Amino acid sequence: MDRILASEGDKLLALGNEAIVRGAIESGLDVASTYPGTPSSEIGDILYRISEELGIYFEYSVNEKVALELGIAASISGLNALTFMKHVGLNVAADAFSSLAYVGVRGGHVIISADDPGCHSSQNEQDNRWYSKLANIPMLEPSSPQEAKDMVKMGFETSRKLELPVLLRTTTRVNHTRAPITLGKIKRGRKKSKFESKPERFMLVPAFALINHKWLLERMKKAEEISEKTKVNFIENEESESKIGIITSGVSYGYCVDVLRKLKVDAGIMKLGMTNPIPRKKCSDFLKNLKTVIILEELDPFLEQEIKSLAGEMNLKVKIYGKTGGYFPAYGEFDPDCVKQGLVKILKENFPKLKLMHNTKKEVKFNSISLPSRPPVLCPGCPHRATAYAAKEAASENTIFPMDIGCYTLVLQKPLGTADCVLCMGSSVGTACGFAKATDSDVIAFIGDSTFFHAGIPGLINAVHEGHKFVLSILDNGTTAMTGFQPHPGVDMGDEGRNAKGIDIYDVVKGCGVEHAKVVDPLDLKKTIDAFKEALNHPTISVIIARRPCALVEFRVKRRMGEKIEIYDVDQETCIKCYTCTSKFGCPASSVGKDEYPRISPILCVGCGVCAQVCPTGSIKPIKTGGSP
Amino acid sequence: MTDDCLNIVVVGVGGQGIILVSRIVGEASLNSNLNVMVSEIHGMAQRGGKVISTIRIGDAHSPMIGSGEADIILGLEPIETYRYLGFASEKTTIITSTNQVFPFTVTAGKEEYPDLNELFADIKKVGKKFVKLDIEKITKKNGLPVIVGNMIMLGALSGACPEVPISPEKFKETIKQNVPLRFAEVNLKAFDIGFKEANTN
Repeated sequence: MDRILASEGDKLLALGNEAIVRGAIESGLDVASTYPGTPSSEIGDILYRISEELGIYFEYSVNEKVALELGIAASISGLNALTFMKHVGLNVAADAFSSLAYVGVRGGHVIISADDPGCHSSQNEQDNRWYSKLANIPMLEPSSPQEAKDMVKMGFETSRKLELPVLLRTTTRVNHTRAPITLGKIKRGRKKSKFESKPERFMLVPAFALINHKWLLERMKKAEEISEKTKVNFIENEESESKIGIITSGVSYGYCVDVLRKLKVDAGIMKLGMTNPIPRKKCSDFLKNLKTVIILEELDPFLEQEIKSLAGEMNLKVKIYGKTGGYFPAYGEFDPDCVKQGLVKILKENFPKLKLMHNTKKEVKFNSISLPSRPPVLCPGCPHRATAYAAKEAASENTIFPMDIGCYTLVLQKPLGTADCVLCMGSSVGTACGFAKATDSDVIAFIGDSTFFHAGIPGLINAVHEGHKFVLSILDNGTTAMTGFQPHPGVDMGDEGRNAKGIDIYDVVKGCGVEHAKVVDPLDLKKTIDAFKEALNHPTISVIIARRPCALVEFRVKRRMGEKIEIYDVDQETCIKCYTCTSKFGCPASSVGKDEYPRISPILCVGCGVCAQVCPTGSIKPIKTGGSP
Repeated sequence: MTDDCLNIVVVGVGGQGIILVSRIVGEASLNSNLNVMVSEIHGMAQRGGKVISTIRIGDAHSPMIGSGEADIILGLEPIETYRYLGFASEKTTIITSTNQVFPFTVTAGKEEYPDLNELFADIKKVGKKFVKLDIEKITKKNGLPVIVGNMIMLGALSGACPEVPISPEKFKETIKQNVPLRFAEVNLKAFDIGFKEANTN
């Protein structure tokens, strides 16, 4: 049995994302959809495994917009829907999201935005709490796995009660923290319901939309009543007479409690779990009795602005500290150190006589040795490395390489360095159109298979239609590798007993009107280099589909099948120490030994054989015996 | 303990099994009726980058640990142990593997891997106890695959740190629950060897 299905009453050491799933299946989840993205990916991984068994419909949609629209249709038909994505995914879904509250929901609909302060695995660290204001959607912010679970359940209840969707905004430190959660009863899903047509509600034509907007604002008043009463907005140490108060949300709450305890500071703590709308009355009652208020929140001064405006309206004399005075950083993740530093500074300024118990430790002298960096790299045997190498071999010095979102972004690193610009999903194709027009350079763009389906197709159609000349290299490794090997529309799911048909990227490209398109195996280096040369000489847009399964997946399959892997080694008799393998191709399995000869790690080599093809003297050869463990 | 919790930092390189180690410490805490919070970082970690996981056993409200507040640093790679010494104070036990995993920046000849003896001499200046384990040698001597290096290190944590409120039996019971059945024996053997090595070190 899957661990997530453990019995009611049990305790489970759950990842935040596991807690979210458990909260959803205890709420009677019917329909779930997503596009994979860290830090939300494990929610989908689990639902993919258990949905069938629980009577839930789950899909990896082509992108977040489609995932959300699917959820909306389910919820306005009366089902309980969960749509989840990483923070930047909500940008893709924003068109639907921004109008969604105008029509509202009938079943419960919880939408999860997994934000990534600190950019652990993202191109930006935007604070998606603003989306809840923009779209007038009530928002919950958990600070731990247990809260994440409770708030998913509360989200479904609140959503049904208000007939509005609810945004659950998490951050990496919630999604990827493990802590004990207490399990409740699982409810099975229903796959079908009945849609009742109500054009005046569900048809957002101008005449109806305006009326719906008014209805929505009234609903948000009701939401504020819930915010006043809910137990997720609570005050700790209310009886404190210190005149010091802290207002906090999300993971900052945990740092706040841990740090205050260490400093032995007596302060009232207002923890807001529902942060849109905020409980204005509860907040002003809290503020009234205080002299100093500190707002602790990661990223933007979201609560700070609300609280300052509230204090202004109420004409309160209380001093409010947060980001705007520079006490806490408005970028990056919080940690106990920066929370402690900011708190101590504010408290010392305001209460010079206050005793703070912070044990300044003896400065230990070390850290004199400078360490090499350890950036993530493309895996040994990764077909993307071979494709980028081939492109570089074929390209002139005057070439721009627009890049996209996925593992292949790592070709940025030397020695390949074939990456010049990346913004968001699909941006390689759109920017390639622009570079082709704005410069005289050759342009070779890279996009992954899943990313191509997600956001690359409109750009390709644009390129064909407008006659932009560049080479688009679609890296077809048959999976969404970076986020943990989820399937995408190019993957035929027939053998997993699912009803998902694989769509051939070549057919899509041809269907978009591309005349010159070629499928190559990137591990055949010569053919791939020739394909790039030919593509560069072609007068219009050309597409190269570099098709080869992800090395991690292929290696795993081979190992499972007990297939022998032929690994490679350097023949020192003929090696001329030109270092093409190590300094031009740069597979992490190869390095230079103390004897100055290149060598190949038998532990890391997966036998792709591309280094043997880059070697000018044919000195890299398969080893007859052995094989990777 | 530096505060109400026992704070453990586990560091190393993607692929060394750091997340499994911290998960087992977490599960073993829960199995011992202790509260616990564990932080993990996913995503890029799989691609050979540096990995850190923090564990707090006790009344924690967040899994994050401040500078100088680790009770134990368990490092599966020497420079990664060194990189995170900011978490250590004079009260910290530092346990490290002595086996290098060269970053790509070093194998490509762009940066240098520092001298191990200098690293260790420096680490020794910090903390109250310093335990080194030559995992490669230990696995060879005992006929174990290198892949169970993480369980040797977990055994060393249990053996070297009496302040960890989890019995070796609880650890072993939890290992059994968290690895595939056919690998249970080799993982348990690795744990026992690590436990012993840390005591004779």
